[in-house]
Amino acid sequence: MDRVAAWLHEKNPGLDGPIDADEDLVEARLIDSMDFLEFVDLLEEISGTSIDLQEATIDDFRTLARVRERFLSAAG
Amino acid sequence: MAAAPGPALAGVGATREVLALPGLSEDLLAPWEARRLAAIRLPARRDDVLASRLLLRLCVSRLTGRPPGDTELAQRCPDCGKLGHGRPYLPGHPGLGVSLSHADGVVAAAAGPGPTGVDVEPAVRRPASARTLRRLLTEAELRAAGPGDAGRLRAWVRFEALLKAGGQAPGVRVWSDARTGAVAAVATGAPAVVFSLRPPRAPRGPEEPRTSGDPPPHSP
Repeated sequence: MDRVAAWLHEKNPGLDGPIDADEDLVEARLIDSMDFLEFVDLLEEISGTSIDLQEATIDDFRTLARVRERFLSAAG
Repeated sequence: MAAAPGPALAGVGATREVLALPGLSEDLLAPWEARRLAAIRLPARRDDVLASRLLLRLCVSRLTGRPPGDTELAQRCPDCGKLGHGRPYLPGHPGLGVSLSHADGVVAAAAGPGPTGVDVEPAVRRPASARTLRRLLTEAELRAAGPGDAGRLRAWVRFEALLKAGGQAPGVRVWSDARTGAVAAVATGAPAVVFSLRPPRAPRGPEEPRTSGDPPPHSP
């Protein structure tokens, strides 16, 4: 999850402190619509598996905890 | 209340300019909107969101002739059905579509008869790669927007505007706003009149001077 957190900080310069595992990334505006596609690319790269956006929902990307559970649980 | 007749309106402005406009302040937001603002940690991003909601009220005001403070805005998620997020709408104007967008210091808003969607990005923003965009955009959409970063950015704002309109709006207009350095798109069911905010100059009106083609501002 370090790479995911680092990516989020890179996309949000000036963001102080850690991103809580249960923080709502969408409501906090830490990911916008165009970044979202790059976020999916990143998760695929880390997990080594493809993500079908037809099968995922926005809630699957809403918190770091959910991202880990949904996409990165096998990546360690 | 029936939708106001006439064209759709789409406005683009710099966040700081919108927030400086007299008569538009955070006080106009509903409590649920204020709670959403409070969840945003980055002050600049919070300002963008606030400015987009105020610009939307200005668009509606210009279209309906009512003061910006009269606009009751609601949102409903088309996926989960819950209120407070998702597609914005006006409970008092069921035939009037509204949409808003914000990105790194620029904001856009639109209102018009029927499904309406708007999107804006700074023209300097580097868009996602063509490979990444193909997750959602067709090859034809990418090709039609032109080559390079500028073409992909135009394709993206067009896609977003159409998506926000529920894919139902028959017309999509993409334009560059040179003054704010933004690329914007509006998808509407009616011809769209586009305007760009000018920096306010006290003590005159809330927004001036107007450019030719601008609709008249609301007079309190």
